[in-house]
Amino acid sequence: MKTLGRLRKALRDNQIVLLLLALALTVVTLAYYLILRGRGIDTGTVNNQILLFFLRNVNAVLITAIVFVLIRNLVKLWVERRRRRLGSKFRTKLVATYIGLSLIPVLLLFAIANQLVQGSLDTLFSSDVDSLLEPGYGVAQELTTTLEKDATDDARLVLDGLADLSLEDIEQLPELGRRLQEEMNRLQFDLVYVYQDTEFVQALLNPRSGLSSLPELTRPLLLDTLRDGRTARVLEVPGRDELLILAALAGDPDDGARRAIVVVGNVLGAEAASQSTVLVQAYQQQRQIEVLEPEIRAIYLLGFLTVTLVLLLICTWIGLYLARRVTGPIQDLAEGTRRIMGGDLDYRVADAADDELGVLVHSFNRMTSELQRNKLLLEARNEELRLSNETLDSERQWIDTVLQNVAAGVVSTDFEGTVLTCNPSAARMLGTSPRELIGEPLAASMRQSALANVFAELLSIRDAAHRQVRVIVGGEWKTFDVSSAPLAEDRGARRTGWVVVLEDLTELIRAQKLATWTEAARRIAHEIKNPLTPIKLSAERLLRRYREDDPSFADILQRGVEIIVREVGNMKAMVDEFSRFARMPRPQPSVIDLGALLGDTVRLYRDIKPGVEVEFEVDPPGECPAALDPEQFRGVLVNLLDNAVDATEPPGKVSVRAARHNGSVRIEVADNGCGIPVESREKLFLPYYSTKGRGSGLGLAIVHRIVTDHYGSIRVEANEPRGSIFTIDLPQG
Amino acid sequence: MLHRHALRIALRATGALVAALLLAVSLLAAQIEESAEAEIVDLTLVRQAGVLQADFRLANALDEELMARIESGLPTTLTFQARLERPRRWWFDRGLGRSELQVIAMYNAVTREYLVNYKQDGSLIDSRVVQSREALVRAMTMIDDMSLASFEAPGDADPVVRVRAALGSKNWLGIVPTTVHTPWSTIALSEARAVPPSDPESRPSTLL
Repeated sequence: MKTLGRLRKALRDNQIVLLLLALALTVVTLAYYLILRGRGIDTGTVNNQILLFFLRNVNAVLITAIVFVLIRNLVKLWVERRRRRLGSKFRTKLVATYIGLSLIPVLLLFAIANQLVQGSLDTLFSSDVDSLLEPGYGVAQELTTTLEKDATDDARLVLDGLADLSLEDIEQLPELGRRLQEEMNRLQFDLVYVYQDTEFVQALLNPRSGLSSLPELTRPLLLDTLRDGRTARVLEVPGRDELLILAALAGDPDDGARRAIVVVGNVLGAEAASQSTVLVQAYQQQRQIEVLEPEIRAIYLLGFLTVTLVLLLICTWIGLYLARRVTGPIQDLAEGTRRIMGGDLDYRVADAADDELGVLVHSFNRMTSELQRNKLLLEARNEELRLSNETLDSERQWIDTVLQNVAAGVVSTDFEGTVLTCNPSAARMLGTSPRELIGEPLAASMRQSALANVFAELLSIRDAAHRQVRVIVGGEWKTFDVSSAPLAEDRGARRTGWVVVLEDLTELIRAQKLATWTEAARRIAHEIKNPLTPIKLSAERLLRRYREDDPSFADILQRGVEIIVREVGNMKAMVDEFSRFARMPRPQPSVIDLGALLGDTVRLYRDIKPGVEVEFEVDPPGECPAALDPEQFRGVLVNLLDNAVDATEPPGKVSVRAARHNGSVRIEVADNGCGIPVESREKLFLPYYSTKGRGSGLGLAIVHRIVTDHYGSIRVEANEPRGSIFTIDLPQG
Repeated sequence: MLHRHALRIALRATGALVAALLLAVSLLAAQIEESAEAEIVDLTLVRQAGVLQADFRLANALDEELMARIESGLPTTLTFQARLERPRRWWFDRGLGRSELQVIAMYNAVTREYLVNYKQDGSLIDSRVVQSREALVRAMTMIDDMSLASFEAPGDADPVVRVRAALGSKNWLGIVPTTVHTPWSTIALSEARAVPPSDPESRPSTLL
């Protein structure tokens, strides 16, 4: 449908030219016809002339059209090739092929058809036809000649028979009639006229002639007879097929006298006359054909040439149209490719027909649309990426600034432990410079074996971990809290390195120790002052009673000494406790089943307080290996369980839970007792701090000390909905 | 794009113009003269009873080819064109009057007669039947008393009478029809001689 539409459009585009040509040809032909008719030329000749004129001019127009179409397209092709337009070479080949394919058969057809027709015309104009017609014509001519001769002979006899009559004497007319009748009967002619010069004298018609009346003779016949002495005529009988053969003979001229003319006529019967006429007319038609031979040949030739040129024009036009139809989309595609290469993704190739080229054009347009969509998407992504990079740059600068100024040391390594970055604080803590550290293995580059061991250990653990280490840096002991965390990509699926954070706890610990000792000194002073007051009062009372010489002095002395001894005992117990806390030995860790240790300890508290349920759980069930000092840790558990059971009023529940968590072991001791105020939680692990108003206040301090000695941590939080929960995190290994 | 469109329009206009010119030339060329061996001779003017008449003869016109055409029975026409013109060679409008005499011959092979018709300015004025070639040649080429009654000469100039014969047509370049004419034969109007009226009986007339 699209092809037909384009063909219609192409024809419509040339419609004006075609209409103008047709109109001009019609006008010129009509004008020529009028000119010919104005010259009085017969219709047949005019028709031939007009037909020839029309055919010649149609051919001229067709040749002009073909030459025009060819030149136009060849010039366009030449221009396109000069401009090196894509597809022009292919189009040239197509045009040459189409025109060649149309020219060869059409011209071949024209040559063969023309040869056949010319052969037929040769046969028509051949001497064979003449040889057939000429004898017939000769016979017809001979027939009329013979009849003329016979009539002339008869006229001679009649004229001779009238020699003794005076035609001017009216009295001799009957005799003239009788003699004419006798001669008619004797010689058997059909009619006879007698004239005196051109003056009619008498005529006689033979009834056997079949004529109803005598035809009137023409004056020129008589004049010719008078001039030449004799003459003959063949006349067509009006309204009949017969011929009238007349022979006129004039008498010898006398001086000054009028001459007698005898005209004898014979009627040639209709059958013979018709046959004679047919023969003559056939011969004459053949002569006409021979005369018109060039025109007839030209008409046939031009007719075939017209058909050939029309075919050639149609073939050429269609060929050029098809070539353009094929190469047009290719050129459009090439143009589209060039435009798209130039970045114009809005360009679309016009839809071609519903053929393979149409599919190609459609695919090309779809590809362009996809490219445009992807380009827009890419631009949006690039914008997002640019903004993200800006954000990242900003964040990196912020992080760099933080890292450059943060007190904590931050070191990042790759998966093998090679240092990638190192901030100044880390370098200062490690007694080196970032330049020396970056690119070196973190653990191996440490001069302090303790640090090297800690780093090696942390980097060997898969998950986050932290350790405290005391090392000599710059000639003084430093305490660092070293934390490590893995750097991961692909949402944690792939470890790429580590980040190690060092925190210098030296000053903090020093301050904590100072605060601890200050608090301890205060508590010790308070504890010492408490027994000192009764001792002082007892001693002053004893002295006063002694000076007063009190008779009950002995009783008073005994009670006073008892008070002093008791308070001194209390003081000694307190000092012993303090000594024990101070002398706590270093832990001797060994790998034990923490679950079994917890189970054994919990079992002691199952029925210690009615209404308080003590539960125990290991997650996941089974062995839970941990490296720790079992005796010290049993003390930790006892202390925590004592406090929990003590704080829980029936009905209540104390639960102990051990679980492996991120490469460490977590122990939770929870109760739903009265809970611990928030303000007390900070001081809970300080020595001599107690919320119970009894005891030494060293229990949780010892617990904290043991956990810390095991490189672990302990914290207390509120249990929901009530109570407290103590959480201990220990390294598993 | 505009250049391409303009080129297309120019090519189409050129093609249409060439075709139109070709057709126009073919129409105009129909009137182009071509010289022939035939010529108008013995041109004389007579003024008989106040009516201008021309006598002339067409020489070397009826060759064998033309005779063969006539005797084949095809109507054959000789056209004699007479013009009254001002004697100014380069004047754009020299014509003062014109007349055209057509002599149409047709052969009847059955009766062996030549019918010759005379039409002047579209009207049949005479018709003759002759029996011989010689008579036919005379009838067609010897023109006596061609009436030029419509010619009116202005008083301020001595016009000329020009006569020529159109013998037939040929095709220029095979496609453009052209008429074969004899050259013009010219005589001054002042050379017309006056003659007394002739006997109507002496003049050829219709046969029947």
